[in-house]
Amino acid sequence: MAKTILIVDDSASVRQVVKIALTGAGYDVIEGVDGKDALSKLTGQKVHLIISDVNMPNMDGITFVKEVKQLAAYKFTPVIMLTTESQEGKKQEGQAAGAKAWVVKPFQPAQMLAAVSKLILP
Amino acid sequence: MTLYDILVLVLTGLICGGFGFWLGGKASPAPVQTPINSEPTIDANAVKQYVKSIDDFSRLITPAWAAHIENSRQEMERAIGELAQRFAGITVSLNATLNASGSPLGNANGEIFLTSNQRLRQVVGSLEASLQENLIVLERIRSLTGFVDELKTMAREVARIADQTNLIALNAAIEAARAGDAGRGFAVVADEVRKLSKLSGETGKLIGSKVEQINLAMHSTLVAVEKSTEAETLAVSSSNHNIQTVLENLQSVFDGLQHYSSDLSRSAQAIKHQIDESLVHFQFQDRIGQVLMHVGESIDKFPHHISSIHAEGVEALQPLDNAAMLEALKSTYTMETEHLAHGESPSSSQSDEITFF
Repeated sequence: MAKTILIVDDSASVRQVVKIALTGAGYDVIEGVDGKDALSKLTGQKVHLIISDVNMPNMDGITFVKEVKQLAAYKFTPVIMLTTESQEGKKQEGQAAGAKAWVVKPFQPAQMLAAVSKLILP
Repeated sequence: MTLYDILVLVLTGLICGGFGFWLGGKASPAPVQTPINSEPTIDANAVKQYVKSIDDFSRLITPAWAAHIENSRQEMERAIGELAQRFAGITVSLNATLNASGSPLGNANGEIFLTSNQRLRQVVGSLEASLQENLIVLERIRSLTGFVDELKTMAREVARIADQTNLIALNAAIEAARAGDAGRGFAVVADEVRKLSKLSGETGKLIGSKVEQINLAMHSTLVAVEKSTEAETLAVSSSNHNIQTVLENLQSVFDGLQHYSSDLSRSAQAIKHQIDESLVHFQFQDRIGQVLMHVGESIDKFPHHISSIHAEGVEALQPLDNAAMLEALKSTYTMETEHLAHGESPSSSQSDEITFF
């Protein structure tokens, strides 16, 4: 059975790019437009990995990851931050929130797949 | 020079340049007419009008700029989103095509061909076995004709013995007649022998006639079987040739299909690769969108800055705190390119590689 990945980004084009890269490799992909929307998507289904932007309206990515880590079902679910932010300080915030990897946009689909397959088995 | 630089320069130019020019033109007399050590006279009413125009500018023009930037950002996001969706659709179709060309059904073509080839060869093999059986029958019929010749010889021999017996019986009858009464009994025997020889001769002729009939029947059978075998040989040879031709044609069709399928797969792979590359570039929308949002937010704050320096009236005008405005803008930056746009040196602590924690 295919693993499910949640992509959270306010940019539709980034969500599409991630979706194409991952579905091509056999993953199921669901989308969230911001942190708040993504939290609602987590209920009622099993998500094996989360990819989240940092700067988003309504709820930013760092807050979202902190909220996810509070959920018992997702405490150990790996999170990749996908962002234009490349400042070391922001990365440390992401790590402290519970993210497992930090990918800077623009990314290559192969690069994203490598990061995903390192964190979960296909 | 970034969009932000241009906007800041335009705004600062408009405000400072316009204000200076206005003051030079309206509030100050011409230098030649100004007495030495005398302060220039300022028309307070004119300054109020100017300040009001700046207020209006910040209240009316800058929000319009910000609105245009935001609209353009949203429009670009929608358009790029839809474009990415279309490309996603193309990628899905290409994946389906590639999966279909590499599916077991596609690979089974060669196996089907091999199986068909083997079955058709089996049919030809059966025909050839049947032909071999017919050839054996033909040989046996030919060997039977040899027996017929022997039978004919035997029938001729029977006729010859009958003739000879008849001659002996005739001589015996003559000798019996010569012996007179003493030979009368012998004459009866000789007569019976002559009758038997006559019957034997007739039987021999009959056998010869029947053997001849059998010989003719066998000959016609032999001719028929030979013709049949010859026709069958030609049919097998023709079938073999036709099957070979059909198989070669099929092989050619399969090879063509295989070649076409490979070309199609290669083209689909190349297009997919190009699309993947294009999708990377679609991410520019996110980056540009963020820059535009930061600039738009900064422009949105401009009326607030203007109203704060004009709050105490024209008598207590304050200079714009451009440094604070710039710092506020810089605090919104997320990308290295935004920092570099203001002449900052690249940060050594930044990395575009994937970082695993």
